[in-house]
Amino acid sequence: MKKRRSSNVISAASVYVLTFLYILPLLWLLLAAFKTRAEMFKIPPVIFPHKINIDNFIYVLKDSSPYFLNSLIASVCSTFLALLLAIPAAYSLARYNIKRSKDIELWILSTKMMPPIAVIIPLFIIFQKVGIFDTLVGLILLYTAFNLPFAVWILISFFKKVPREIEEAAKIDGCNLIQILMFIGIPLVRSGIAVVVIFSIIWTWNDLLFGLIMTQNAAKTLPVALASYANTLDIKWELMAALAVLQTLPVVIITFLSQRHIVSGLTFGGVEK
Amino acid sequence: MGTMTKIHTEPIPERIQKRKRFSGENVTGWFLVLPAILYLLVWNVYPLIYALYVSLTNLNLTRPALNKFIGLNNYLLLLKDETFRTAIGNTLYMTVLSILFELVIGYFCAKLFVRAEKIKGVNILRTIFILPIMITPLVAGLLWSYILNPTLGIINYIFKILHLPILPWLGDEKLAYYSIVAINVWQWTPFMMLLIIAGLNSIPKSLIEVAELEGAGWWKKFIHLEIPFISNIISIGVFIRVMENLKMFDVVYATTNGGPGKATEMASLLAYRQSFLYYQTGYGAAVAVLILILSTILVQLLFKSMWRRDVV
Repeated sequence: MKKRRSSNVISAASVYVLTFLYILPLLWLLLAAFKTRAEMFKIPPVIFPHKINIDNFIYVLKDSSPYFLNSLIASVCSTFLALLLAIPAAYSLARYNIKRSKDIELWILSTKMMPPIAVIIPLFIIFQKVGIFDTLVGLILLYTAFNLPFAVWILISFFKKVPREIEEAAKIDGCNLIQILMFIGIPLVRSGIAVVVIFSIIWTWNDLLFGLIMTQNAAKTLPVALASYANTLDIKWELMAALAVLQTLPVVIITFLSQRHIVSGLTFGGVEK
Repeated sequence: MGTMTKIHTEPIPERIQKRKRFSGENVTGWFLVLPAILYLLVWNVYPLIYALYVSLTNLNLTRPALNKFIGLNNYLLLLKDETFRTAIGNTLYMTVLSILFELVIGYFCAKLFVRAEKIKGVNILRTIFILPIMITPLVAGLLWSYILNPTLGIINYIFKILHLPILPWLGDEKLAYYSIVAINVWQWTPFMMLLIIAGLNSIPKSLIEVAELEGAGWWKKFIHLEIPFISNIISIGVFIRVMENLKMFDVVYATTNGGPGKATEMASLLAYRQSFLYYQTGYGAAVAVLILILSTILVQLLFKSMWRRDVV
């Protein structure tokens, strides 16, 4: 009994230490965001800023608020559009015996596996011709295509778990297809929808490549703005750190609120938690 | 009521069953799935065909009017291009090396978390531990380039205190490459760890007890108990990580931008630079098409082997 307790203490201590060491780089970034420019360049390095200085945050918020807004609108709208297309598609693939539905499923997933650089070159040319280059509409449409395969794939596995009997009972009660989807299907797969929403928003929010190529100024997204801080000759580390913290914060909050959905999201629903 | 049940239990004649394929239900099914399919056709298939076409031209974004069909010329040039070979080699080596490290470190972390299962707050600790997966790779790259900065960086300062040599982490060819591997491993080990935890938790407690009663050491338990239970989950993880590594862009863009020299050049980065910085769009498209072919082959191989073992 005694031995058991001491080994418990050791494993508790090691998990705490391991986690602390592992996220130390993130804490270092957080500290940097509060330092003044002078503190950033001191040698030996200043560990704790001597006061809680929020000037960096105020500066980058003023400087980058349009990019925050662009990223937010692009994330939310493309997630919504992807769900709008994915829910009926996933329902159909899970429920109806349409010809070659397995092939369709695989093809949809395979579009998610494609390296984005392969489609981005032609899309850049098309966007310029159509006149949606550097617009939010263009970005939203693009991100929808990028979030759609994941949404379909996750929702299929959730719809398959819903017992058919419930829907059949509703059908007998006189519900039509839209009513069944709205009042029975969607509420029953709400966990799946949560997974899709969490990951689509995080992916879109975090994307650099599409934003870098498809925007210039009007629709510039937050990661692109962040990258441009680092590309100047004289890197403003303290501002970069502040913007990075602000960019990361929403994702951290989402992660904490939704820990139980994360495993199924990370593995395309392939692993149950 | 009784008659109705009787009608339902009677087998449907084959002729009618066949007709059902084209009946209302089937049409509704297609009607529901078609918008998504059309959307993906427009945004994936059409651009891919377009990319293939662009790769056969000498398109230059600054003077699109001079665009000319040049056949396989870009591809011939590519095969002779040493930068391209380096980029592909770097990408593949990065993929193999990082995944190996992620698996080994991920396994040890997973064991630690599973052992500490009953400890207070372990769920919150695990969520904190997986934060690196959630931050954008761009932030990971920027953050590490700050930490590894030769003069201001904390790593070199710690090295100095410990009387270790001060190193140009991202400035030396070999070191820069392995620094990026390390950043990659840091960011994605928690992902493997989560999967391995899920796998380890799926082992029935009774089996573990039997193994312990029979005096199986950790190696025996690892080979005969843990590996069989985690292998399917791990193959999903490896599959996803291979895909992601082949697309690698952000971390390199934020840290070394491919340099010094070509030491950290990656396939996606090369295609990006050729197309959008040097405006050699036809050439860039050819790079992109070859990346696509390469990743399709790898995906097929991995997917087939998973399919055979019933993982997906």
